[in-house]
Amino acid sequence: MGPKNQLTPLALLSAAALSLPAFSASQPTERVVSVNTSVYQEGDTNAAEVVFGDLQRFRVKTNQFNLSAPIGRDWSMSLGYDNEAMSGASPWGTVAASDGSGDLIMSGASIDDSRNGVDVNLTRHWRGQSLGVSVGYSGEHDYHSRSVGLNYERDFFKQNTTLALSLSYASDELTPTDAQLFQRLEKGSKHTRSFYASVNQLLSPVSMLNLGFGITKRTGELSDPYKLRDVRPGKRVERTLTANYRRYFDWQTSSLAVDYRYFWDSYSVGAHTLAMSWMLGDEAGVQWGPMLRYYSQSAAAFYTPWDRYDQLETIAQSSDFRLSTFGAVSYGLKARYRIGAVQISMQYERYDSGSGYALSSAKTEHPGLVDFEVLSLGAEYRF
Amino acid sequence: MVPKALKIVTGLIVLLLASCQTVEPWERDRLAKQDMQLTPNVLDARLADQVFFSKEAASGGGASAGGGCGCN
Repeated sequence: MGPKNQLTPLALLSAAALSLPAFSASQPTERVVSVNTSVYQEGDTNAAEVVFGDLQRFRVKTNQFNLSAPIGRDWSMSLGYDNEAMSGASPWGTVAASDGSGDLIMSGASIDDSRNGVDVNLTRHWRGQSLGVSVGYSGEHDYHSRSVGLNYERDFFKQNTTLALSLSYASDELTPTDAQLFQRLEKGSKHTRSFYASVNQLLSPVSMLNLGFGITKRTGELSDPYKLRDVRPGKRVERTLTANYRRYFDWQTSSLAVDYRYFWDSYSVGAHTLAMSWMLGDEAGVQWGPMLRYYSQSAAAFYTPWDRYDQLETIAQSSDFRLSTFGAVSYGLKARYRIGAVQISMQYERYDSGSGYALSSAKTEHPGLVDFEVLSLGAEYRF
Repeated sequence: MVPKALKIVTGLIVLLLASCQTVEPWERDRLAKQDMQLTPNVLDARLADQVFFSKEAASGGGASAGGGCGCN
Protein backbone atom coordinates (compact mmCIF):
# COMPACT_ATOMS: atom_id res chain seq x y z
CA MET A 1 0.00 0.00 0.00
CA GLY A 2 1.46 3.36 -1.05
CA PRO A 3 1.65 6.39 1.19
CA LYS A 4 -1.39 7.98 -0.51
CA ASN A 5 -3.61 5.08 0.56
CA GLN A 6 -2.46 4.94 4.15
CA LEU A 7 -5.07 6.04 6.67
CA THR A 8 -3.98 8.29 9.48
CA PRO A 9 -5.14 7.55 13.05
CA LEU A 10 -7.33 10.67 12.86
CA ALA A 11 -9.00 9.46 9.66
CA LEU A 12 -9.63 6.04 11.21
CA LEU A 13 -11.13 7.66 14.32
CA SER A 14 -13.30 9.92 12.21
CA ALA A 15 -14.53 7.01 10.11
CA ALA A 16 -15.44 5.06 13.27
CA ALA A 17 -17.12 8.07 14.86
CA LEU A 18 -19.16 8.81 11.73
CA SER A 19 -20.76 5.40 12.06
CA LEU A 20 -22.24 6.39 15.45
CA PRO A 21 -26.02 6.42 15.00
CA ALA A 22 -26.41 9.98 16.29
CA PHE A 23 -29.21 11.53 14.25
CA SER A 24 -28.06 10.79 10.75
CA ALA A 25 -29.04 8.82 7.69
CA SER A 26 -26.29 6.29 8.46
CA GLN A 27 -26.93 2.57 8.35
CA PRO A 28 -27.48 1.13 11.87
CA THR A 29 -24.55 -0.95 13.10
CA GLU A 30 -26.34 -3.41 15.41
CA ARG A 31 -29.17 -5.91 15.26
CA VAL A 32 -31.73 -5.18 18.00
CA VAL A 33 -34.51 -7.50 19.13
CA SER A 34 -36.94 -6.08 21.68
CA VAL A 35 -40.09 -7.34 23.39
CA ASN A 36 -42.51 -5.57 25.69
CA THR A 37 -45.60 -6.50 27.66
CA SER A 38 -47.88 -3.94 29.30
CA VAL A 39 -51.16 -3.49 31.13
CA TYR A 40 -53.27 -0.36 30.67
CA GLN A 41 -56.09 0.16 33.17
CA GLU A 42 -58.62 3.00 33.21
CA GLY A 43 -60.28 4.13 36.43
CA ASP A 44 -64.01 3.38 36.81
CA THR A 45 -66.61 5.96 35.87
CA ASN A 46 -68.36 7.80 38.71
CA ALA A 47 -71.71 6.00 39.26
CA ALA A 48 -73.46 9.29 40.05
CA GLU A 49 -72.79 10.49 36.49
CA VAL A 50 -73.99 7.36 34.66
CA VAL A 51 -77.65 6.89 33.74
CA PHE A 52 -77.16 3.55 31.98
CA GLY A 53 -74.52 0.89 31.43
CA ASP A 54 -71.38 -0.57 32.88
CA LEU A 55 -69.09 1.53 35.09
CA GLN A 56 -65.94 -0.47 34.41
CA ARG A 57 -63.82 1.26 31.77
CA PHE A 58 -61.13 -0.17 29.51
CA ARG A 59 -58.34 -2.58 30.35
CA VAL A 60 -55.82 -3.35 27.59
CA LYS A 61 -53.08 -5.97 27.67
CA THR A 62 -50.43 -5.38 25.01
CA ASN A 63 -47.58 -7.56 23.78
CA GLN A 64 -45.06 -6.04 21.38
CA PHE A 65 -42.10 -7.21 19.35
CA ASN A 66 -39.56 -5.34 17.24
CA LEU A 67 -36.53 -6.38 15.21
CA SER A 68 -34.21 -3.94 13.47
CA ALA A 69 -31.06 -4.93 11.62
CA PRO A 70 -28.54 -3.86 9.00
CA ILE A 71 -28.59 -5.91 5.79
CA GLY A 72 -25.35 -6.09 3.87
CA ARG A 73 -23.44 -2.83 3.48
CA ASP A 74 -26.22 -0.52 2.27
CA TRP A 75 -29.56 -1.71 3.61
CA SER A 76 -31.43 -1.99 6.89
CA MET A 77 -34.85 -3.27 7.92
CA SER A 78 -37.25 -3.28 10.83
CA LEU A 79 -40.21 -5.47 11.67
CA GLY A 80 -42.76 -4.57 14.34
CA TYR A 81 -45.67 -6.53 15.75
CA ASP A 82 -48.29 -5.50 18.33
CA ASN A 83 -51.06 -7.58 19.89
CA GLU A 84 -53.70 -5.99 22.12
CA ALA A 85 -56.56 -7.55 24.08
CA MET A 86 -59.16 -5.01 25.19
CA SER A 87 -62.15 -5.32 27.52
CA GLY A 88 -64.42 -2.85 29.29
CA ALA A 89 -67.19 -0.35 28.64
CA SER A 90 -67.04 2.94 26.73
CA PRO A 91 -69.36 5.97 26.53
CA TRP A 92 -72.20 5.71 23.99
CA GLY A 93 -73.61 9.15 24.54
CA THR A 94 -74.59 11.85 26.99
CA VAL A 95 -77.82 13.35 28.28
CA ALA A 96 -78.38 16.69 29.97
CA ALA A 97 -78.02 16.54 33.76
CA SER A 98 -79.96 18.70 36.23
CA ASP A 99 -76.83 20.71 37.17
CA GLY A 100 -76.22 21.86 33.60
CA SER A 101 -73.55 19.29 32.79
CA GLY A 102 -74.01 15.94 31.05
CA ASP A 103 -74.55 12.39 32.31
CA LEU A 104 -73.18 9.34 30.55
CA ILE A 105 -74.84 6.52 28.71
CA MET A 106 -72.27 3.72 28.76
CA SER A 107 -72.16 0.54 26.69
CA GLY A 108 -73.97 -2.26 28.53
CA ALA A 109 -72.04 -5.48 28.62
CA SER A 110 -68.27 -5.40 28.46
CA ILE A 111 -66.74 -5.11 25.03
CA ASP A 112 -64.11 -7.75 24.29
CA ASP A 113 -61.86 -7.25 21.30
CA SER A 114 -58.31 -7.74 20.12
CA ARG A 115 -56.03 -5.97 17.68
CA ASN A 116 -53.04 -7.25 15.75
CA GLY A 117 -50.72 -4.86 13.98
CA VAL A 118 -47.62 -5.44 11.90
CA ASP A 119 -45.33 -3.04 10.09
CA VAL A 120 -42.23 -3.61 7.98
CA ASN A 121 -39.66 -1.05 6.89
CA LEU A 122 -36.85 -1.44 4.37
CA THR A 123 -34.25 1.31 3.99
CA ARG A 124 -31.46 1.87 1.45
CA HIS A 125 -28.49 3.88 2.73
CA TRP A 126 -26.10 5.89 0.61
CA ARG A 127 -23.30 8.14 1.80
CA GLY A 128 -25.11 10.88 3.72
CA GLN A 129 -28.64 9.93 2.76
CA SER A 130 -31.23 7.18 3.03
CA LEU A 131 -34.58 6.26 1.53
CA GLY A 132 -37.00 3.91 3.25
CA VAL A 133 -40.34 2.36 2.40
CA SER A 134 -42.74 0.92 4.96
CA VAL A 135 -45.98 -1.03 4.85
CA GLY A 136 -48.31 -1.77 7.74
CA TYR A 137 -51.51 -3.58 8.60
CA SER A 138 -53.71 -3.41 11.69
CA GLY A 139 -56.79 -5.55 12.19
CA GLU A 140 -59.63 -5.75 14.69
CA HIS A 141 -62.87 -7.65 14.10
CA ASP A 142 -64.63 -4.40 13.12
CA TYR A 143 -61.70 -2.30 11.87
CA HIS A 144 -58.95 -2.90 9.30
CA SER A 145 -56.20 -0.48 8.38
CA ARG A 146 -53.56 -0.71 5.66
CA SER A 147 -50.78 1.83 5.36
CA VAL A 148 -47.74 2.64 3.26
CA GLY A 149 -45.01 5.22 3.86
CA LEU A 150 -41.84 6.74 2.40
CA ASN A 151 -39.02 8.24 4.48
CA TYR A 152 -36.04 10.20 3.19
CA GLU A 153 -33.12 11.52 5.25
CA ARG A 154 -30.14 13.60 4.17
CA ASP A 155 -27.16 14.81 6.17
CA PHE A 156 -25.51 18.21 5.75
CA PHE A 157 -22.54 20.03 7.26
CA LYS A 158 -20.47 17.02 8.39
CA GLN A 159 -23.60 15.29 9.70
CA ASN A 160 -24.32 18.20 12.06
CA THR A 161 -27.66 18.77 10.34
CA THR A 162 -30.10 16.12 9.14
CA LEU A 163 -33.20 16.78 7.08
CA ALA A 164 -35.96 14.14 7.29
CA LEU A 165 -39.04 13.99 5.06
CA SER A 166 -41.83 11.45 5.19
CA LEU A 167 -45.06 10.75 3.37
CA SER A 168 -47.65 8.23 4.47
CA TYR A 169 -51.06 7.01 3.40
CA ALA A 170 -53.52 4.82 5.30
CA SER A 171 -56.78 3.30 4.12
CA ASP A 172 -59.11 2.14 6.91
CA GLU A 173 -62.29 0.07 6.68
CA LEU A 174 -64.98 0.05 9.40
CA THR A 175 -67.61 -2.66 9.80
CA PRO A 176 -69.32 -1.87 13.16
CA THR A 177 -70.79 -4.80 15.08
CA ASP A 178 -74.56 -5.14 15.63
CA ALA A 179 -75.07 -2.51 12.92
CA GLN A 180 -78.63 -3.60 12.06
CA LEU A 181 -79.66 -4.13 15.69
CA PHE A 182 -78.64 -0.62 16.73
CA GLN A 183 -79.15 1.05 13.33
CA ARG A 184 -75.45 1.88 13.06
CA LEU A 185 -73.45 2.47 9.94
CA GLU A 186 -72.90 -0.96 8.34
CA LYS A 187 -69.74 -0.20 6.44
CA GLY A 188 -67.51 2.82 6.00
CA SER A 189 -64.00 3.86 5.07
CA LYS A 190 -61.56 6.60 5.86
CA HIS A 191 -58.31 7.75 4.33
CA THR A 192 -55.35 9.45 5.97
CA ARG A 193 -52.63 11.29 4.05
CA SER A 194 -49.70 12.69 5.94
CA PHE A 195 -46.54 14.70 5.33
CA TYR A 196 -43.87 15.38 7.92
CA ALA A 197 -40.61 17.31 7.68
CA SER A 198 -38.00 17.81 10.37
CA VAL A 199 -34.53 19.24 10.78
CA ASN A 200 -32.14 17.85 13.34
CA GLN A 201 -29.32 20.11 14.47
CA LEU A 202 -26.41 19.18 16.73
CA LEU A 203 -25.88 22.15 19.05
CA SER A 204 -22.80 20.94 20.91
CA PRO A 205 -21.11 17.61 21.81
CA VAL A 206 -23.78 17.19 24.49
CA SER A 207 -26.96 18.70 23.04
CA MET A 208 -29.18 18.63 19.99
CA LEU A 209 -32.44 20.15 18.77
CA ASN A 210 -35.03 18.74 16.39
CA LEU A 211 -37.73 20.91 14.81
CA GLY A 212 -40.61 19.45 12.83
CA PHE A 213 -43.75 20.34 10.94
CA GLY A 214 -46.48 17.88 10.01
CA ILE A 215 -49.75 18.02 8.13
CA THR A 216 -52.34 15.27 8.05
CA LYS A 217 -55.57 15.13 6.08
CA ARG A 218 -58.27 12.66 7.10
CA THR A 219 -61.33 12.08 4.94
CA GLY A 220 -64.27 9.68 4.96
CA GLU A 221 -66.27 8.27 7.87
CA LEU A 222 -64.77 10.25 10.78
CA SER A 223 -67.87 10.02 13.03
CA ASP A 224 -67.83 7.41 15.80
CA PRO A 225 -70.35 4.73 14.67
CA TYR A 226 -70.77 3.40 18.23
CA LYS A 227 -72.06 6.69 19.62
CA LEU A 228 -75.81 7.32 19.72
CA ARG A 229 -75.51 10.74 18.05
CA ASP A 230 -72.14 11.66 16.56
CA VAL A 231 -71.93 13.69 13.35
CA ARG A 232 -68.47 14.98 12.41
CA PRO A 233 -67.30 16.74 9.26
CA GLY A 234 -66.03 14.23 6.71
CA LYS A 235 -62.73 16.06 6.31
CA ARG A 236 -60.21 16.94 8.98
CA VAL A 237 -56.89 18.70 8.41
CA GLU A 238 -54.41 18.56 11.28
CA ARG A 239 -51.12 20.42 11.65
CA THR A 240 -48.32 20.03 14.16
CA LEU A 241 -45.22 21.96 15.09
CA THR A 242 -42.73 20.08 17.22
CA ALA A 243 -39.52 20.87 19.07
CA ASN A 244 -37.45 18.14 20.70
CA TYR A 245 -34.38 18.91 22.79
CA ARG A 246 -31.80 16.50 24.21
CA ARG A 247 -29.07 17.42 26.68
CA TYR A 248 -26.43 15.17 28.23
CA PHE A 249 -24.89 15.96 31.63
CA ASP A 250 -21.65 14.43 32.85
CA TRP A 251 -23.04 14.87 36.37
CA GLN A 252 -24.58 11.50 37.28
CA THR A 253 -24.16 10.60 33.57
CA SER A 254 -27.70 11.82 33.02
CA SER A 255 -29.76 12.82 29.97
CA LEU A 256 -32.62 15.29 29.80
CA ALA A 257 -35.29 15.02 27.09
CA VAL A 258 -37.80 17.82 26.48
CA ASP A 259 -40.47 17.39 23.80
CA TYR A 260 -43.03 20.04 22.87
CA ARG A 261 -45.84 19.79 20.31
CA TYR A 262 -48.40 22.34 19.21
CA PHE A 263 -51.39 20.86 17.37
CA TRP A 264 -54.24 22.62 15.62
CA ASP A 265 -56.86 21.34 13.22
CA SER A 266 -59.88 22.20 11.08
CA TYR A 267 -62.21 21.08 13.91
CA SER A 268 -60.87 24.15 15.82
CA VAL A 269 -59.05 21.99 18.36
CA GLY A 270 -55.81 23.55 19.61
CA ALA A 271 -53.52 21.50 21.86
CA HIS A 272 -50.21 21.85 23.66
CA THR A 273 -48.14 18.86 24.79
CA LEU A 274 -44.99 19.19 26.88
CA ALA A 275 -43.15 16.03 27.94
CA MET A 276 -39.95 15.80 29.94
CA SER A 277 -37.89 12.88 31.14
CA TRP A 278 -34.57 12.61 32.89
CA MET A 279 -32.54 9.39 32.95
CA LEU A 280 -29.71 8.96 35.42
CA GLY A 281 -26.99 6.34 35.47
CA ASP A 282 -24.60 4.65 33.07
CA GLU A 283 -25.99 2.68 30.11
CA ALA A 284 -23.74 -0.22 31.06
CA GLY A 285 -25.52 -0.72 34.39
CA VAL A 286 -28.58 0.58 36.20
CA GLN A 287 -30.49 3.60 34.92
CA TRP A 288 -33.61 5.19 36.28
CA GLY A 289 -35.49 8.44 36.03
CA PRO A 290 -38.75 10.32 36.33
CA MET A 291 -40.99 11.48 33.49
CA LEU A 292 -43.63 14.18 33.40
CA ARG A 293 -46.11 15.13 30.67
CA TYR A 294 -48.60 17.97 30.45
CA TYR A 295 -51.39 18.13 27.87
CA SER A 296 -54.09 20.75 27.23
CA GLN A 297 -56.66 21.00 24.45
CA SER A 298 -59.53 23.29 23.54
CA ALA A 299 -62.88 21.86 22.40
CA ALA A 300 -63.90 21.18 18.80
CA ALA A 301 -66.21 23.80 17.31
CA PHE A 302 -69.10 21.29 17.13
CA TYR A 303 -68.62 19.77 20.60
CA THR A 304 -71.76 19.66 22.75
CA PRO A 305 -71.83 18.64 26.45
CA TRP A 306 -74.81 16.37 25.74
CA ASP A 307 -76.34 14.87 22.59
CA ARG A 308 -78.69 17.23 20.78
CA TYR A 309 -81.61 15.28 19.34
CA ASP A 310 -83.33 18.56 18.51
CA GLN A 311 -80.67 19.19 15.84
CA LEU A 312 -80.83 17.79 12.32
CA GLU A 313 -78.56 14.81 11.71
CA THR A 314 -76.82 16.75 8.97
CA ILE A 315 -75.51 19.34 11.45
CA ALA A 316 -72.15 18.46 13.01
CA GLN A 317 -72.19 17.57 16.71
CA SER A 318 -70.32 15.31 19.09
CA SER A 319 -70.35 14.84 22.85
CA ASP A 320 -67.17 12.73 22.73
CA PHE A 321 -65.03 13.63 25.76
CA ARG A 322 -61.95 13.57 23.47
CA LEU A 323 -63.30 16.64 21.70
CA SER A 324 -64.07 18.58 24.92
CA THR A 325 -61.87 21.18 26.62
CA PHE A 326 -59.62 19.37 29.08
CA GLY A 327 -56.09 18.94 30.24
CA ALA A 328 -54.06 16.11 31.70
CA VAL A 329 -50.96 15.55 33.76
CA SER A 330 -49.13 12.26 33.60
CA TYR A 331 -46.11 11.24 35.58
CA GLY A 332 -44.11 8.12 36.12
CA LEU A 333 -40.82 6.35 36.59
CA LYS A 334 -38.74 4.22 34.31
CA ALA A 335 -35.81 1.96 35.15
CA ARG A 336 -33.40 -0.13 33.08
CA TYR A 337 -30.74 -2.67 33.88
CA ARG A 338 -28.17 -3.89 31.37
CA ILE A 339 -26.42 -7.23 31.68
CA GLY A 340 -24.04 -7.56 28.74
CA ALA A 341 -26.04 -7.42 25.52
CA VAL A 342 -29.41 -7.69 27.30
CA GLN A 343 -31.31 -4.78 28.76
CA ILE A 344 -34.34 -5.20 31.03
CA SER A 345 -36.68 -2.24 31.41
CA MET A 346 -39.69 -1.35 33.53
CA GLN A 347 -41.97 1.67 33.32
CA TYR A 348 -44.96 2.95 35.28
CA GLU A 349 -47.09 5.92 34.26
CA ARG A 350 -50.21 7.49 35.76
CA TYR A 351 -52.50 9.86 33.80
CA ASP A 352 -54.95 12.25 35.49
CA SER A 353 -57.29 14.33 33.33
CA GLY A 354 -59.81 17.06 34.06
CA SER A 355 -61.15 20.34 32.75
CA GLY A 356 -59.25 22.15 35.53
CA TYR A 357 -55.92 21.19 33.93
CA ALA A 358 -56.79 22.93 30.65
CA LEU A 359 -55.19 26.23 29.66
CA SER A 360 -58.57 27.50 28.43
CA SER A 361 -61.63 27.43 30.66
CA ALA A 362 -64.41 24.89 30.19
CA LYS A 363 -68.05 25.59 31.07
CA THR A 364 -68.55 22.02 32.27
CA GLU A 365 -66.32 18.99 32.72
CA HIS A 366 -67.17 15.94 30.64
CA PRO A 367 -68.00 12.99 32.93
CA GLY A 368 -66.33 10.58 30.50
CA LEU A 369 -62.80 11.93 31.02
CA VAL A 370 -60.50 9.10 32.06
CA ASP A 371 -57.65 8.57 34.46
CA PHE A 372 -55.45 5.57 33.78
CA GLU A 373 -52.27 3.71 34.71
CA VAL A 374 -49.84 1.86 32.45
CA LEU A 375 -47.29 -0.65 33.68
CA SER A 376 -44.86 -2.18 31.20
CA LEU A 377 -41.96 -4.60 31.28
CA GLY A 378 -39.53 -5.01 28.40
CA ALA A 379 -36.32 -6.65 27.27
CA GLU A 380 -33.86 -5.80 24.51
CA TYR A 381 -31.02 -7.80 23.01
CA ARG A 382 -28.29 -6.18 20.87
CA PHE A 383 -25.91 -8.25 18.78
CA MET B 1 -53.30 34.66 16.76
CA VAL B 2 -50.15 32.85 17.83
CA PRO B 3 -50.62 31.24 21.27
CA LYS B 4 -48.43 32.59 24.07
CA ALA B 5 -46.88 29.15 24.72
CA LEU B 6 -45.77 28.96 21.08
CA LYS B 7 -44.06 32.36 21.36
CA ILE B 8 -42.17 31.20 24.45
CA VAL B 9 -41.05 28.00 22.73
CA THR B 10 -39.95 29.96 19.63
CA GLY B 11 -37.88 32.30 21.82
CA LEU B 12 -36.17 29.35 23.52
CA ILE B 13 -35.42 27.75 20.14
CA VAL B 14 -33.78 30.96 18.87
CA LEU B 15 -31.61 31.07 22.00
CA LEU B 16 -30.57 27.44 21.56
CA LEU B 17 -29.74 27.86 17.87
CA ALA B 18 -27.67 30.96 18.68
CA SER B 19 -25.39 28.76 20.79
CA CYS B 20 -24.92 26.22 17.99
CA GLN B 21 -21.36 24.98 17.29
CA THR B 22 -19.88 22.48 14.83
CA VAL B 23 -19.58 19.03 16.39
CA GLU B 24 -16.75 16.91 15.00
CA PRO B 25 -17.34 13.19 14.46
CA TRP B 26 -15.03 12.16 17.32
CA GLU B 27 -17.03 14.34 19.74
CA ARG B 28 -20.28 12.42 19.33
CA ASP B 29 -19.97 9.57 21.83
CA ARG B 30 -22.40 11.20 24.27
CA LEU B 31 -24.83 12.17 21.48
CA ALA B 32 -24.93 8.50 20.45
CA LYS B 33 -26.21 7.34 23.83
CA GLN B 34 -29.63 5.71 23.97
CA ASP B 35 -31.40 8.46 25.90
CA MET B 36 -30.06 11.16 23.58
CA GLN B 37 -31.99 9.65 20.65
CA LEU B 38 -35.35 11.07 19.55
CA THR B 39 -36.86 7.63 20.15
CA PRO B 40 -34.78 5.87 22.84
CA ASN B 41 -37.09 2.84 22.86
CA VAL B 42 -39.25 2.13 19.80
CA LEU B 43 -41.72 -0.09 21.69
CA ASP B 44 -42.31 2.44 24.49
CA ALA B 45 -42.89 5.12 21.83
CA ARG B 46 -45.35 2.92 19.90
CA LEU B 47 -47.29 2.13 23.10
CA ALA B 48 -47.43 5.80 24.15
CA ASP B 49 -48.60 6.87 20.66
CA GLN B 50 -51.41 4.31 20.78
CA VAL B 51 -52.51 5.25 24.32
CA PHE B 52 -52.56 9.02 23.79
CA PHE B 53 -54.08 8.74 20.30
CA SER B 54 -57.03 6.86 21.79
CA LYS B 55 -57.68 9.41 24.59
CA GLU B 56 -56.83 12.84 23.16
CA ALA B 57 -57.83 14.88 20.10
CA ALA B 58 -54.24 15.76 19.20
CA SER B 59 -51.91 13.29 17.54
CA GLY B 60 -48.98 13.23 15.16
CA GLY B 61 -45.72 15.11 15.33
CA GLY B 62 -43.72 12.20 13.98
CA ALA B 63 -43.06 10.33 10.77
CA SER B 64 -46.39 8.46 10.90
CA ALA B 65 -49.69 10.23 11.36
CA GLY B 66 -51.13 7.92 13.99
CA GLY B 67 -54.23 5.87 13.51
CA GLY B 68 -54.59 2.37 12.25
CA CYS B 69 -57.06 1.41 14.96
CA GLY B 70 -60.71 1.89 15.77
CA CYS B 71 -59.84 3.49 19.11
CA ASN B 72 -60.42 7.09 18.02
